[in-house]
Amino acid sequence: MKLRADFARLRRDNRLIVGLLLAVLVVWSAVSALEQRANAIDPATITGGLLLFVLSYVNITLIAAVLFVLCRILLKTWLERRRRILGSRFQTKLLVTYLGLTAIPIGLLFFTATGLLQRSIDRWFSTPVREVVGRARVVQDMAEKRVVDETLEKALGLGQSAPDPAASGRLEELRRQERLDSIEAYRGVQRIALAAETPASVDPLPAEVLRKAAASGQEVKIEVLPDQSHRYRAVVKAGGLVWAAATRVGPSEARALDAIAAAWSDYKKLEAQKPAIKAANISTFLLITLAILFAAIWVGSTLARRITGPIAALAESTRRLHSGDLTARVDVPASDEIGALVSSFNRMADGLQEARDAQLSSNEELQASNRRLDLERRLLSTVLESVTTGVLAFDSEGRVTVCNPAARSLLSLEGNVTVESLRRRPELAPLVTLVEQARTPASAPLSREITLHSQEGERRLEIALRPLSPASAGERGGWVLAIEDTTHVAREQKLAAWSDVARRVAHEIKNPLTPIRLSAERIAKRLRAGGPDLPEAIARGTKVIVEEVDFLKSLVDEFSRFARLPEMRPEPTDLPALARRAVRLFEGAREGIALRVENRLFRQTVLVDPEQIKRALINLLDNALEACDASGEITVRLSEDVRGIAIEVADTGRGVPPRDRDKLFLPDFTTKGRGTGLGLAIVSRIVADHNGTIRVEDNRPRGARFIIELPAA
Amino acid sequence: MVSRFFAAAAVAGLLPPGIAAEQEKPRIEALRAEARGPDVFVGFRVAGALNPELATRIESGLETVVRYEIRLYRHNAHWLWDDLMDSRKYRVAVTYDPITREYVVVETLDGRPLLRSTTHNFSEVARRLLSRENLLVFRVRPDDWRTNLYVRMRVAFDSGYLFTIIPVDDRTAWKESNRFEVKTSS
Repeated sequence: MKLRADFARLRRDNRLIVGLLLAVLVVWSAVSALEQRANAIDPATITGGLLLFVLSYVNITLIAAVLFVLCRILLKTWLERRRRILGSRFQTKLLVTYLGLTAIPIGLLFFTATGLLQRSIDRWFSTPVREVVGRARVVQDMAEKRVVDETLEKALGLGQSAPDPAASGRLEELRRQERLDSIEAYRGVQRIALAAETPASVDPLPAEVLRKAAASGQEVKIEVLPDQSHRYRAVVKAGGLVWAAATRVGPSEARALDAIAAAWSDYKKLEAQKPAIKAANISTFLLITLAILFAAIWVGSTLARRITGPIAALAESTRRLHSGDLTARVDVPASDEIGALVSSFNRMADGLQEARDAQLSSNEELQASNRRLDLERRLLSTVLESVTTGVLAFDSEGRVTVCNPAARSLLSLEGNVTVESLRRRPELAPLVTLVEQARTPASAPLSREITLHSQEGERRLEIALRPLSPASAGERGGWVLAIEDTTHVAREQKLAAWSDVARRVAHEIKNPLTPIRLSAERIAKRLRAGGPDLPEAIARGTKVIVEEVDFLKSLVDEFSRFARLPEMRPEPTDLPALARRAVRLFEGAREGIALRVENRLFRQTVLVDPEQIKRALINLLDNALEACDASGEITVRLSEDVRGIAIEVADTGRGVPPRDRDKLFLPDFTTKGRGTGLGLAIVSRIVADHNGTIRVEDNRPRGARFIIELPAA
Repeated sequence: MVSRFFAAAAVAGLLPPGIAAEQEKPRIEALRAEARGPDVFVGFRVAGALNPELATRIESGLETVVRYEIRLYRHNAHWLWDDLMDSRKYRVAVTYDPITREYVVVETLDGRPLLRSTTHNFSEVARRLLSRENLLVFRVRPDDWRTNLYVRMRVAFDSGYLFTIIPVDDRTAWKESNRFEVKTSS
């Protein structure tokens, strides 16, 4: 649509210019044609007639048009400059330059041409020419005067001789004698006699001539005959009559005289018309000059407007863009580089508008998102305020950013909570350790259980640490620590476990009681029966009873150990040596099972309770040995990192199914045929007493791997 | 045509001083009007018009024209302007034939031919161009005003060129005749 409008405007402008040029061409052609035709007609018609006036009016019209256009352009330019419209200065310069380049040569050409023309016209009327024409006219005058004088003399002689007008023979004789063309006699204005060589060609004299002759005594009339000969008729008054004698000059002589007269007349006419001829020629030149000047002004103005128009429009649109109106576009027809500039500007404006629209849309979305986030934040805040789970959040630098009331209550925190304030609380060391572990690059979600002692009693807390979603790649967003008070859960679990243990112990105790009773009854029966095999039966029965009692004793001892674990006494311990001693207890226990210790510790000693740790290791090694088949390998691996010490017991046995891993450390869980289910529970208790954690993973390529992690301290 | 007055006013500052004063300006010396019955006759004489340029032009054979503009007015003593009753254009054209050496004088009134005459005498031509007696110009209608009448006349000649290119007429100022009245025949 815009392209079509531009094209239409361009076509309209071009039509104006083409129309103007055509008009100039038509006027110039018409003037030229008129001038050429005028060469063949009377100079008076040329100079005094239509041509000069047409030229004058056209010139005046063109002068008025040029002045009007010039004044309009100047006024417009002045106003635009005064209003400081951008592009007006450039337009003025362009227009002045164009006009200067056009008007100066045209002006010079005009003045030079008219000067040459005037000199050329002046040369027509130079002294030699004037003298020749004048002298020729004098010669003609003299020749005619002689003819006129002779004719007049003969007419006077005729009047003096006064022949009888009625005697036509006499008159004819006189005519022949005097070699006259005709003899006439008039009475008043009435011709009463005529003697002529060709009477039919001699018309009566006009009454005016006869009156003048009657009045003045004589008169002369010159006639041009159809054969271009001249007839000189001298009229004299004699008595009551008027006599006229005529002499005829032959065509050849008459043509010569006519030529002189015509030349003289033409020269005189030209001389009289000299100003008009000059005016006509100068007018023609002026017409062409003005037409070119007018066209130059018009074209210059159009060109300047075409160049400065888009620039001004660009400036205006730029101003509007600057003031925030991003709908501003340049809607002017332009081509070439200006057109490319306009297109680039419009594309830029489109881009700006799209960017702003996108920004507005983004702002709206951001506001909506902010509102949503605010809602979520308030919801989260409310949730955090109301939940019984303690929540502590740390940023990537380890600063506490969130600490809800539940967390304050569970951890007995007051005032401003910082990592330092947590570190000052020894009972919160596992928590601090967890946070510091979390800050290591390869940290994974961690969880730990800690026990706090206070005046209100013992409190067990389950702590889970999860990293926040990273803000961007390579950054950590921080961590969230969820603290769950599991005291009542643990209590219930403990009660349940004890209940199970009691049930299991009762069951285990009940199981041996049956063979004991049966053996005792069998011994009693054999005693009542007697017989030779009595001793053997008694021996067999007592053996069974002893075996079952031993089992009962071991069962009670184990339970006693679990129930009454000694107070933990940490001391610097050579952990590798401790591990080797534990392994040594199982060496050779089963053929085909290899045991070894891998020590990757950097430190010499670790602060642990050696007896408890040894007991835990023995339990784990016993389980590993049990899990292995005919052949296998058991490895005790000791390692450390910034988080602390890791004791790993890996076997190549059956492994632990994932479904059993959660209940593996419960007191009543066992996969052995006659296991008490207390071994791993004791290990878990020992590790917990050391503020550590224990977990089980698959060993590669097969088997299980129990990992004990103890804090670095 | 641009009147000489305006032309003179326009170029007053441009023409070299003294040019206008070199030639005597044409003027109407005498203008008489007389009513004979309803017919109004005028007689006039123009002086200062026959300058060398005009004589040269006549002798060259170019048609030379003198145009008279004659208007009949009734004077209003108690009003700002007078009543224009009628107007006529009287034209005298003279053409010289260099072969027959005759001047042909043609007179027309409002385009209608009045008189055509020939003469060899240049002074007679001058007289005919610039003076006239008993020229019947107007005929007062019965319902027209008949008192306080007068005639105004001015003469126009083909003249020079303004700025070399614009042809301008040479005109005299308006000349008023004597007052007269048309007597009723009854």
